Amino acid sequence: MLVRYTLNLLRICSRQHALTPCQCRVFAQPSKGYAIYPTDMVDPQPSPEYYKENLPEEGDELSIKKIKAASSSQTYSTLYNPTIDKFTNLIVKEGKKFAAERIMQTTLAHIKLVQLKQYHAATESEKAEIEVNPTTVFCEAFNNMKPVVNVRSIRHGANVYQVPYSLEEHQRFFVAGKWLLDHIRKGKPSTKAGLRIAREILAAYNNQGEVMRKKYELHKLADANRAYAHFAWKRK
Amino acid sequence: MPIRTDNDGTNLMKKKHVRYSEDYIQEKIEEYKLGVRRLAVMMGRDPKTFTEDDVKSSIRYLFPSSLTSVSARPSLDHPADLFPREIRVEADSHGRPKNYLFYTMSDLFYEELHFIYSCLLEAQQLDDRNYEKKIAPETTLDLKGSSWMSHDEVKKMFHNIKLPMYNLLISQLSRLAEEPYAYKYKNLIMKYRVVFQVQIAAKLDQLETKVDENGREYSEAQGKRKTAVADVRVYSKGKGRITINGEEFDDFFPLITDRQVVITPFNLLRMNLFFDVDANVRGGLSGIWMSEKGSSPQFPTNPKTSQAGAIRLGIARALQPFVGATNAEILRRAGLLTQDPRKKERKKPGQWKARKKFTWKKR
Amino acid sequence: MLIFSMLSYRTAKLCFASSNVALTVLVKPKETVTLKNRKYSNTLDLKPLSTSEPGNFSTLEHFLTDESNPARHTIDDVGLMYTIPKEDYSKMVSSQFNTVAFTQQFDKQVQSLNEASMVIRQPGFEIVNYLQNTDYTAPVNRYVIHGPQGSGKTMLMMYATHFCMKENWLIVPNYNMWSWMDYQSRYKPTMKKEIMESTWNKERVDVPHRAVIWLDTFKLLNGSLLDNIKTTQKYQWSKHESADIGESFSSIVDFGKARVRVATDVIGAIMKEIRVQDASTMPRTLVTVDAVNAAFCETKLKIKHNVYLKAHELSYGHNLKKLMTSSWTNGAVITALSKPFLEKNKKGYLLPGSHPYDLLGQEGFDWLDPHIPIAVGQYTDKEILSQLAYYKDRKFLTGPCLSEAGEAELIQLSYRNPADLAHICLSAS
Repeated sequence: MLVRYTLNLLRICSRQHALTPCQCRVFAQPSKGYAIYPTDMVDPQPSPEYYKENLPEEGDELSIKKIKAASSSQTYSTLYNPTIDKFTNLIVKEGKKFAAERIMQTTLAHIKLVQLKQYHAATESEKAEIEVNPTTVFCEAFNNMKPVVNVRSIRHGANVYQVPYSLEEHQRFFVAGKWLLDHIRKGKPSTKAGLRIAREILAAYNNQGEVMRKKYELHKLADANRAYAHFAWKRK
Repeated sequence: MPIRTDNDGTNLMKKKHVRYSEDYIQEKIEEYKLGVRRLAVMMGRDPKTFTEDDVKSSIRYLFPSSLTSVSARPSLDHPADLFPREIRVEADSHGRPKNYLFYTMSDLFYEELHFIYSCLLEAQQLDDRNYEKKIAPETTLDLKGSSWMSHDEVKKMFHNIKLPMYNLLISQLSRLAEEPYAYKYKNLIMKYRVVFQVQIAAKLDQLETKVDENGREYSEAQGKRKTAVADVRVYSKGKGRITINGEEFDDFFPLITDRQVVITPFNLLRMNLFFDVDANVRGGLSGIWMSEKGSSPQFPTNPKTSQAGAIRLGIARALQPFVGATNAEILRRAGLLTQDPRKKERKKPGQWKARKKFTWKKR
Repeated sequence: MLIFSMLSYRTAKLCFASSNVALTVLVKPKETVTLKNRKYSNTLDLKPLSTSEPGNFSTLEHFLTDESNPARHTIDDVGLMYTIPKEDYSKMVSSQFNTVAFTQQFDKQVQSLNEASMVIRQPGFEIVNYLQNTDYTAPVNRYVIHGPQGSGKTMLMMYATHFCMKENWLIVPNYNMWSWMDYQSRYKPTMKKEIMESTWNKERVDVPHRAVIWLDTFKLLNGSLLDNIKTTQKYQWSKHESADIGESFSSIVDFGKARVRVATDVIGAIMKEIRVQDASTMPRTLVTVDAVNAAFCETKLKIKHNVYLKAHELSYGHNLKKLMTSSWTNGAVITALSKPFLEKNKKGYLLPGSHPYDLLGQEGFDWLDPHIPIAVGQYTDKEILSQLAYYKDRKFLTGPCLSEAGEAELIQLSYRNPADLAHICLSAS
């Protein structure tokens, strides 16, 4: 109501000036009209392999369109990993991304050093099984931690049931990340945050640890309550 | 609604739903012609050779205004542009409309839709017949380099078209375009398509290279991000050396994330150690709380990402003449040539900051 | 007037000529241009580096020498890596107490790789050459190692100490002066107990727990050499305790470790003996001081409110400064500067500059005035490639970093800085 009132006022004041929400930035509502980029513009791809394979040609789809600016986390470098980049964004507090980057560097360093110690102390036959690359260890452990279903409470009659539902990829990522960080933020500040994350991940790499236990319990709950899955359809 | 008549032709009122009769418009046209002749005489010109551009410039000279909205300034336009005409209905002597779709209020539009559907059926019949005879279509319809018209542009062709109807039209046309024999209806389809200009990576003015006092070849460009401005020079034959404001790269950017931001154009093209860079940066860093107060060589807490982003844009723009056409296009598609338009959002009255609100009290 | 007009005519002619040239350049078609027809001037035929082919360092075979004695390194070995044997490394670094000989990063790397290896660099080769060819009857030479931050000054000092260990010198290590300038604990009741009045001279101040650590490192490094050195003076620690003439260093050191109050006085006694004795009784000594510029700064320690101590008011600092003069013979003093941690003392801002005069100040520079400066810079091509080849050999780096493009990116990101390279490779895949 307020927005329409102000828009009418402005329309009366400035005669033939047709105002759209995008142009009226004085008291704009955040969700509806305050778009920084117009809807024509397209996102850039963050991986350098995309540009190697899809070389620009005449009359391409993209040759017509305007493209948005790349953010500062889109470094087209060989050290880039999308899961690690996204995970650092979850750690950020109060806009201090340099601290979150620092924590991730210590985790990867710790993982690498622990694995290297095992590697150099092992025999020839065992060496082939030990993974030294910290990013692969992190990604595999993180994938182990991701749940497939989640559970929400739905009221059917007088009772409240825990009804399972499937998760999309980005939801699985977020749930696993949240579990990890909540578990770590309970730890003592005498140990560094990077060390705590690294220990949890090395445990998850071997399917052990607190977060893995949480995932198995959730799966058991969902399996037990799969008879109530149809309660979700009625409400919607 | 009462119509506001104007006696001397000055204040015009635009109401979209009001339509004027032919006689009224003819009167206004004769008044307009008189006025143009008088204007020409006032300016000392021959009225026969007085064009529309001359009308506009002379009125700007006689009635200068500093209003920001262009349509509020004084102007002398042809009445055919200003007064929308009455719609002529083709009707019988008894008053019954001839067109069978008149009572849909947008008869031309629905006629068009019926026509498109009939073309679809024809194309499908052709396809069935020739498939049995094992004859292939001669050519295919190529829709590259064009895109569908927008809602506003279709409104000019048929008035009173809303979004669902526009979507229907586009879906019917794209269904037609999928048929193998759609090339026969190319005129129909291209009527509703707009051929766009190819987005070019750079303006041609920025593609020159210059030579230094010492004989080194370089190119210059400027880059901006938030309030930081960077003037960047890229030398062609180099070893990967970067100097900023006279300081070395690792002294100016102790954080490694800032360094990666500056190096993204080189990383994308994989030409890391082929160029030298010399930059001058000013501005940015208005966040004083992120100063060097708690920082140590092991843990720098002073990120300078706005200045790094400005240098990145400058490098990407200056690299184009050395690197070739396809690589410049690759830089554009990676988003390194567009300036980031994000600025700090303003504080609003009734709130603490841009988004944070006062505590919500129920009563 | 004629000359003026002639000049103007010539300049006018030049302007006209240049304007002609400018016109031909400015006139360009302003039509829509497609990809193929676009003309770029001065394009270089640059091929992008590949991400599949291995880079220079991944095919490098000869990056490690077999000689572990720095005395036998030749100029061909400069740029390659060499390993410090475990016996020598265990003398420099022990697991019982926190030594700051090397950085924490390096210590962790050594624990995981089971090896300590360094790059042999040209200034290190230079120092060893000087130490082999000096006249030890003349007063002591002072070497000042300076360079940008993270360029390897402490590693160079460790290279020199390794050389001297093999030659059986007596080494007096002062690993990090900054640790003397700050409190160890964060809690106020324990902070007050860290400082006490000196038992030797009441105007000065002791830091007893640091002195114990100093004595531990001293004993670790030198070991059996200390049995043969004897004192030439009587030292009265307090009313009832004293050291007679002819007592060996090892007994003094053990006494100092047991009696914590007296530890700094033991250090002072050792330093005095080194200055006083001749080549006949005393072996050659090497005094290493890391972070010299701390000795001429203010500390973070305070006795009263808002009264901070200065370095020369510490008894340790006082004795060290005397050692760093050139008043004694048969030895060498190697010092290194460091970009200070304490510059964020009061206001919290880092000072710029890494030049010795900026860091030492007038007082420090005059104290060390006739010295031999040794400049340490960033890695050269050969050094960085051998360092990266070593990382690849020990499985520190695997994955896309080994390609040409990854190698070039690592070199440009770290900007050939040794500390930054190590930091990036620690967390890189």
